[in-house]
Amino acid sequence: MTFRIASFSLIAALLLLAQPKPDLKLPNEKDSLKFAVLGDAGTGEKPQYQIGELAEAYHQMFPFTFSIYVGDNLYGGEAERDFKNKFELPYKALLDDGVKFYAALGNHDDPNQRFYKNFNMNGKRYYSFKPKNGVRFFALDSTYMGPEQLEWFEKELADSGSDWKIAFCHHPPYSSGEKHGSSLELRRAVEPLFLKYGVNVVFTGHEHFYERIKPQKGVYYFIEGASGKLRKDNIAVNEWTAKGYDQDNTFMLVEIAGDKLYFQTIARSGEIVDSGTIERPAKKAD
Amino acid sequence: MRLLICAMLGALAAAAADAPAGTGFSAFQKNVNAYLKVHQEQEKKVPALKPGATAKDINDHKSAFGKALRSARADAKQGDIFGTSAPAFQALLARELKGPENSSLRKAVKDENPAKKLAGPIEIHINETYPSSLPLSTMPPALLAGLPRIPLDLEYRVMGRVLILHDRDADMIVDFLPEATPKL
Repeated sequence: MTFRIASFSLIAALLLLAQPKPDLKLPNEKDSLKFAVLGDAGTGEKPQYQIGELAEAYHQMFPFTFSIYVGDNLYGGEAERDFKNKFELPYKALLDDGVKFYAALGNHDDPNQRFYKNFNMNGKRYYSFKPKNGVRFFALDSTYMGPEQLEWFEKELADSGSDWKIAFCHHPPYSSGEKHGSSLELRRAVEPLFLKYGVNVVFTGHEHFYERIKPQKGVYYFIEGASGKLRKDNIAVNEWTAKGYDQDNTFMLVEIAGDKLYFQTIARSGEIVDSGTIERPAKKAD
Repeated sequence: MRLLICAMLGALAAAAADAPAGTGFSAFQKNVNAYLKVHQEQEKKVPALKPGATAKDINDHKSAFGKALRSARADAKQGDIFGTSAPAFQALLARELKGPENSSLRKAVKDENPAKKLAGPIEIHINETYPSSLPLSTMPPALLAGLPRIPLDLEYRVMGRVLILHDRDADMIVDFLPEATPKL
């Protein structure tokens, strides 16, 4: 009996040790905006579940209220079981805690996902939302960026005043990936709008790794495409790579407080592969 | 008489407002409008899909809407919508995609082109559901800007060198144009 109790205790201790301990690098201020970034996640395989568990562990100490989901939300099918196994179960704990997901469509996604209750797209392929005064998000459909979408985007940007402007979509305007690389045609269409209206940060996926790009004409770009999928050794570091990581699955945590955006990228192993602060230019006095 | 001719020309231009003038897309636009009518009629027969839907709602709607459309278009065949505008599409895509100056557009269309995922040749059939195991091709903004505008219920997509018209809500291929693009 004593041997059994000791054995169970040892197994429990080993299991606890196996799950990485959260190592939060963000200020975790009381009234800041907190969110997560996950991308290319919808595999239904073990790494996605493990990222989900790790995100939940961090959520206990860093209560982000939503996650942006940068496309390729479901791979290989859109039946009920796909939604369940490739989204609802991996993130069950987060969903049960009230974390909302705001999705963008990827090239593996059926556009009817825009109606799915848990993606909060409100029936739109592209949409904007304002989770807190002073911060506006723009979800774009980079798989089908027709003139109507670009017209909508410009109007929304023009109306967003001096808010933090954060865009997210599936394809990366800047990427060091050997598989896909930069989406040059997308960049040609959207970068002028980013610059004209002061978009601060762009989150994307499509490449199955993490990359932080050095600011391009004042705009910060991140690729978070490794929250389920992973393509090892796929980054060809070049002059615009600030940080690249392609050895394990990852997700991001982000916090916005005033004119500062803090970020942290966490690997499935628990390793903190990147972190930092982005400071946007102070608002000009009226 | 001159005034009458001017008025008629103006009316024709207005009717083909979505078709680039003098570029052979008028037949296509007419066929798209006819398809849209069928789409809207059949859409009314199935419960509307609303934001906040469950996975089951989405699948039930696609299934019901697809079934209604297939029934209404039982005799549909390849070319019904592209029609006599097919050469105009091929010419436009050749202009947009050929040559060293268009390499980045070609690259964008090739990226994750679903034909790459297939073991054998592409087989496409009218009224079939878009294969769920295949990604949708990405349509670059510059290419979409040059193509005739179509209602948001329809999308252009590429599979290999085939240009397809995809009914977004029914997730159905409603027409396709083989060898539409130059070699990518």
